[in-house]
Amino acid sequence: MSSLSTNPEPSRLSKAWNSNMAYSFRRNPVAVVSLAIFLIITVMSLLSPLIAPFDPYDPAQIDIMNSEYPPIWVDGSDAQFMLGTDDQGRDLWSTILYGTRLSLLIGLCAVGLQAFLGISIGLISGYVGGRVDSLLMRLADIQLSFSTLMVAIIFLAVTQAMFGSETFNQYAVYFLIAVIGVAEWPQYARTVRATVLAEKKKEYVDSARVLGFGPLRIMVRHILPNSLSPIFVISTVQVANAIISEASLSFLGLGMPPSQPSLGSLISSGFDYIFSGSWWITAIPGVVLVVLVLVINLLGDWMRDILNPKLYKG
Amino acid sequence: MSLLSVRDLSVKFAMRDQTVTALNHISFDLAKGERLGIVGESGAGKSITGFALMNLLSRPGFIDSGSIHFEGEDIVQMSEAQMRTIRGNRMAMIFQDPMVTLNPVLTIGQQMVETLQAHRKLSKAEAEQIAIVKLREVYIPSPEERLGQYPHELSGGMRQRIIIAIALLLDPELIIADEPTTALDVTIQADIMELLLELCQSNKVGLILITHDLGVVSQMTERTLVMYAGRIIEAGRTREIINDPQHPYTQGLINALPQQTLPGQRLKQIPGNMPGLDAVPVGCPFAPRCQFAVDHCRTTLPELVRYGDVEVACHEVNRLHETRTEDQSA
Amino acid sequence: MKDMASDHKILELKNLEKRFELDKGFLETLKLRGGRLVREKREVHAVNNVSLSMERGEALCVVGESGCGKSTVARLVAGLLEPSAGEIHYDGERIDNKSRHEMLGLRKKMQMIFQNPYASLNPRMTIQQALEEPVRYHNPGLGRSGVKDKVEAVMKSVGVDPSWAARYPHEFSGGQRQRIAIARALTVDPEFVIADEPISALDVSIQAQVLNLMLEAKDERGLTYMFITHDLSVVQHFGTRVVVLYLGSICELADTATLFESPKHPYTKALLSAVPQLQDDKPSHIRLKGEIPTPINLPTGCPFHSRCAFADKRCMVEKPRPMQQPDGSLVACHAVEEDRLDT
Repeated sequence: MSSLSTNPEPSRLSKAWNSNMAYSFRRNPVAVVSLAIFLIITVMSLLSPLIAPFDPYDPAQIDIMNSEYPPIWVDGSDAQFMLGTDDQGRDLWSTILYGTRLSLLIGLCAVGLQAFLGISIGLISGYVGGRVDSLLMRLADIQLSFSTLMVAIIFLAVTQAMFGSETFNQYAVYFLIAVIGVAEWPQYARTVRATVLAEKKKEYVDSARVLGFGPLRIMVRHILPNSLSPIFVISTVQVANAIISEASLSFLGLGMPPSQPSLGSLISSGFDYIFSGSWWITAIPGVVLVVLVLVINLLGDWMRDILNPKLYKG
Repeated sequence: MSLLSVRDLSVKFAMRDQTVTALNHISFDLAKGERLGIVGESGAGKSITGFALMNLLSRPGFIDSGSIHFEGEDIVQMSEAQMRTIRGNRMAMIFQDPMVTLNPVLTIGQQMVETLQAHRKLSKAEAEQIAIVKLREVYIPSPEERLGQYPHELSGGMRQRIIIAIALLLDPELIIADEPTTALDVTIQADIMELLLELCQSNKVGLILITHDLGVVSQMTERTLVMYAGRIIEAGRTREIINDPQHPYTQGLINALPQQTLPGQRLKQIPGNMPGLDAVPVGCPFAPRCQFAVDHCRTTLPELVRYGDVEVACHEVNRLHETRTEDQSA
Repeated sequence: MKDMASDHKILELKNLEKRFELDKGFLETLKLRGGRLVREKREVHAVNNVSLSMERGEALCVVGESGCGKSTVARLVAGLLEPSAGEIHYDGERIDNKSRHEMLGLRKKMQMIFQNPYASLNPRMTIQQALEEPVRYHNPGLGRSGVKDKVEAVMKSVGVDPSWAARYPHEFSGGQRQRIAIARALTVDPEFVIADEPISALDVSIQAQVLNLMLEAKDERGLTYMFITHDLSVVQHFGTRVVVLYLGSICELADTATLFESPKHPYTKALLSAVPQLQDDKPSHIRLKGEIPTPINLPTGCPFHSRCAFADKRCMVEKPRPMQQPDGSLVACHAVEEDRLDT
């Protein structure tokens, strides 16, 4: 969803810096801190192969004898494992870095899929209207009446049984992206449809029609760029939701396998040891997950306030 | 003593980088029962004047300096609680769009009774009686039935009548009407204006009519203020201003009307646009668009001074007047 | 009137009708009436049996109050709506039943200017992009520099400063935007322009600028205008002929001068008398009783009879047809026909 205008302007950066959005961002400490934390988490997780002391995917680097070391500020720790180790002897710090990367990847890709499906369907539904609109929106209603988790659990359980857990584990990332992506497209479709209905009535659309432009051109070139604000707002919420969904599914054992842990599967794998005293295996990735989702939601809140067309005329 | 006396009123808006001046040292008086028109184009500050008089400005706008004496009391210094006893009671406001002024989920009766009970100790039945009397005054047919109806059941013209009836409920001494007929059709507009005029005359109510339509001002008001870029640039008796405008902007406004030109010929347009509030030029704000402007106009702000029967803010008013009289005699 | 094409009227509307369905879908048409479930479709009769024709080079003004169907007529002609009945002929060719592709050629000839300059430009396109798009679309063979030249020429002719090109619509005032919107319509070199209340959202001093611009474009390009407005003072200045609509029907159609000198239809008279005048001190207008009825249930007979001071029994049952008057105007009124209006 990059901006459609391509011609470079010399004052582009200064324009962006002085825009209302950048201004309100600078004035809002919560948004600034949230973005900073989000960027730190993202950059660190993307650079995890470089900054992580161990590679949690490499069995050669894992020694079962190192299992369940506590973080360094607790008695009985080992200095090379900053945040301790998990039950298999993996360095928790490295595993969290890799796991966060996986969680973010799944979240973003799933939302990308949702957005693609939802925006296309919403555009067509809103612009064409009539029977097509009724049909697509009833489909969306049906889809929404199943809870995302329920659909995902059924789908993943069936695929797991069909392909066997070996193959499933291998392609788990794609399955997760597909199922989370498909399950939540109606959120986008509805939002986009509503804005399209509002934009369609505006005279610039009539003007494009009088100029003889075709429906595809009007939809993509004229209506879509003017519907981006709500799409951005819901995208932030959806990313947070998708990360949670992925974590829940992994926690239930239907997501990422223990050999390639995401945040969710890490929390899940530590869960068995929580009463034997090894609370850190669950607690530390749990905190990372909560912080990640929280900052995304806070950013989303800020964006909704600033992009709300009732409060702000763009 | 005049009903309303505004002195050096300035309103500013605190924007994010700077503070812009929306009203710049406005002064005028309104006698009891007098009808005053405020004319100007959008951005001239005429609506802001209306809101400032009701002390209804909200962030980021604020009254920066000056006073508004209503029957001797300064509204600017009043607390919100004191202001509430005046607002809607002794001073009422009619807004532009009758479709959004009434609360859509309350019946006409509920809204009228609520307004009355907010200011006077009345039972519901008493309040309804007053409401019916007022509705009859604005020529609403079968007012008893209307009380139970919701705004959406009524047409635009009917709603604006009801809004006028609500404004009159507490027998105010001053009505501020902000473009009251802009959203209505011409035939309905004529009806509403006639009604407003009749009510103001028979009840001795002062009227401040804010509009962009010189025709409406000409028919409705005794005195007129012409505003440009947050200042009063000409003030005086409506007849004088319409028949013999002194300020080049007022002349331009009147000459730009299609009625002033023979059909098919080019209209006498004023070039350019009104400056934005953040870019008001030094000197006379109208100078960049004025064909008579001289160097002096671009550097020094003209004060509003008496000229003949009117007040004008123009350095060159003498010269312009003389050339015009020469043209006419030639 | 030299070439072959001018044998035809540039535009002809024949018994044009437009109804909007209020109840869409089967379930909405079901209603309870007297304890019984009946199927009933409510329709808004926006345009009823309107016939008129336009000559090349004229400026026909369509006037009326809100809900009289004047904008609907404009949209029907522009092809934004499909008529429920009747025909639209452009230059001797029927156009109301054509597909979008068949209409493409016509799109270059017929353009529209809209009321609200704040909504008629795409807020996410720079002025340059907005002006280039139609040129590119309709002249695919034109090269980059060709498009640029064309856009620059149009900008110059309507007084759009070329330095505006890289900016977005929200950086401009209403008058400037309307100028840009007019420029956009002119980029395809139309011969017929529909203007739907193009100046009613603008300030007085700016209205004059835009009207002048449209008059200049008319002289330079030989444009034919269909001008939709509620402002009669503009009509007197701009139009060569006027058609007065009431509830979707034609009341009166006349040359501008004739209409303003001797209006005949009672509604036209009321409309003219309601315009606030600068000079005349006493507001003395013809008061109409009641308000415009809803176009959902059209009154039988003359649509104006419920508010007309001259309505008699015949007006309530029989719809008057437009009749030619001695001075050339068309008037749809029984009272005018029977000559019982003189008061």
